[in-house]
Amino acid sequence: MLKEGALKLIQYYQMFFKGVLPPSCRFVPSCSEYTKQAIEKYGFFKGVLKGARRISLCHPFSGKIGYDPLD
Amino acid sequence: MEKRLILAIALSLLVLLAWSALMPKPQPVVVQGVKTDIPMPPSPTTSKEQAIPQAAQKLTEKLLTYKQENLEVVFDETQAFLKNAIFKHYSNHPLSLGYGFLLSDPSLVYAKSGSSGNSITFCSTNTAKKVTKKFIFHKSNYTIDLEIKIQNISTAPVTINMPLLLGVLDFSGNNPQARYQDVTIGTEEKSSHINGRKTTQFSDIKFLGMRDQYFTAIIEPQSIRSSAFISKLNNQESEVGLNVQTEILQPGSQIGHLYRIYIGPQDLKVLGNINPAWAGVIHYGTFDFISQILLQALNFLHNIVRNWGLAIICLSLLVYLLLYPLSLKQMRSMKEMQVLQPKVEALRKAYKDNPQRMNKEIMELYKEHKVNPLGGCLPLLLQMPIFFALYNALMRSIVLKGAKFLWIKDLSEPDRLWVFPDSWPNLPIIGHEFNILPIIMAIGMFVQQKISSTSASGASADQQKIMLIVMPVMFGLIFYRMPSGLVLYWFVNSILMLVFQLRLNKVK
Repeated sequence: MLKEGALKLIQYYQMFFKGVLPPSCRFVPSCSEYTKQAIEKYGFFKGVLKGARRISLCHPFSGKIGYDPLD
Repeated sequence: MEKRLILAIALSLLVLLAWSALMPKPQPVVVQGVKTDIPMPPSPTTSKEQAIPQAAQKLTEKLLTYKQENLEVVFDETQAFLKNAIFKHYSNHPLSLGYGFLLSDPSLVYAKSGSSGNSITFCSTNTAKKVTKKFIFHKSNYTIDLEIKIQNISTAPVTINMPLLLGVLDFSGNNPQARYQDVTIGTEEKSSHINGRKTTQFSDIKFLGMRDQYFTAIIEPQSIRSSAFISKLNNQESEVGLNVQTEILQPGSQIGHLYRIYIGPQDLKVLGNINPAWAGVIHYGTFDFISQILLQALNFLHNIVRNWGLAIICLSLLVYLLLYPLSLKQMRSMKEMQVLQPKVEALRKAYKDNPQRMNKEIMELYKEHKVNPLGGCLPLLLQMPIFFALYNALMRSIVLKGAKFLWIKDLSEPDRLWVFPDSWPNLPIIGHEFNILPIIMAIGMFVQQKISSTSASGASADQQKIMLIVMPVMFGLIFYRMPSGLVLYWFVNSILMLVFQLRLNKVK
């Protein structure tokens, strides 16, 4: 249930807010897409953790950029 | 894709409708008149004294008003409880306690036995005991001392076990304060906030508080250890009170307890001066820490500019300047992206069938041109707590109560440029007043989005076009009934964004 809710939430974010906010993600796939895939693959808790780790790297001083798929 | 757009609009409308249904209806600030039938709250621990005779219930209608310099309280004489308080320095805003400081013993019927310039006494005598409740008001602040004396006037020992109510929380839909109410439990170490909709007990407490949006009632027993309880009366009401330890009174003897009470605004200055621990009642939700900082900043600015409206504008400016480096970086990289957009599109076309390769090529392109494409998700995400914190702070901040700015009579209420004549019916969404500020804000937002929108193509362009309209309309409606201080903040914020965007466009 948590899993479905989280996935729906991300889906809504991608549908409605992504278009309005300035594009900002440093990575491909984007943080939201990455989190979505992670939750689908690993379940809610591990997926969210993986997503959080990814977002924590997504800032100008992280030095990381570009193609970073889910392993 | 068309389907998606329709869905987007439908969902936005749904959110709006749900919002207007959930938002409290505007209600005039009137002190409730005498009710013809006041149900007695059942006493939480003593079940044998539950049933009250009809006659006693009828007696509970005798209200009397006690006036002080900054406070006006309405007592019920026969049960000696404080029904509600009206704050004269805050445009007569009321705080309803329901059954404030009621001693849960329905067999007691009180009468006023004395009142002076700063105190009022209620007394009740039955065959077993004599109970005296004396409320002593302190003119300089919002504190009240409550002395309760119980004397055994019978010839046999009497067991004293009477919970003292702090008040009754009303969570029903027609109470506009319902969603702001909570209970504060203060112990030696910390104070915690409890939602109040569930029956619970807390042992060994220091003080107990309950609050609404702007005001609070706090009680602190002075000489005795006590525990607090929240007890659910029905789906909509909860009692909050103190359980004092049971005592057995020998014939002829007497006990007395002293309670310190605060009934007043949730103002850090006022509360902190009286008792710093009580300031723990003031809490702004999840991002309390940030909210407190923002309010301190607002206070500081007010000391300089001497007007809350101007202070809010300055705060908006200040927060904007703090985030300026981030937004500068983000907007710059956005522009750089736009320059590269044709090349990106070309790559997209070339590797249409191989998305992985496509993304890789695009990233290579960025590296090649040494653009740091974007700041990242984190900076954007970090701004969210600030917005939420400010929203919570301004929603509850008492300092804005009655603060005037230009045509706005009260920054804690909608701006009400034009209040419709009484003969007009309540219009949907708009209600009974015309608020101009949210509309200007929505227009500002629209313009800001319009000039900053990136040149997308195809389906996402269509979606963007729709969102360009949907988002400002949604925000305008959400903000329509919000305190004008909050709307003012957002308005200034979007104007600043707009000016920045115009400058950026010019540079390009």
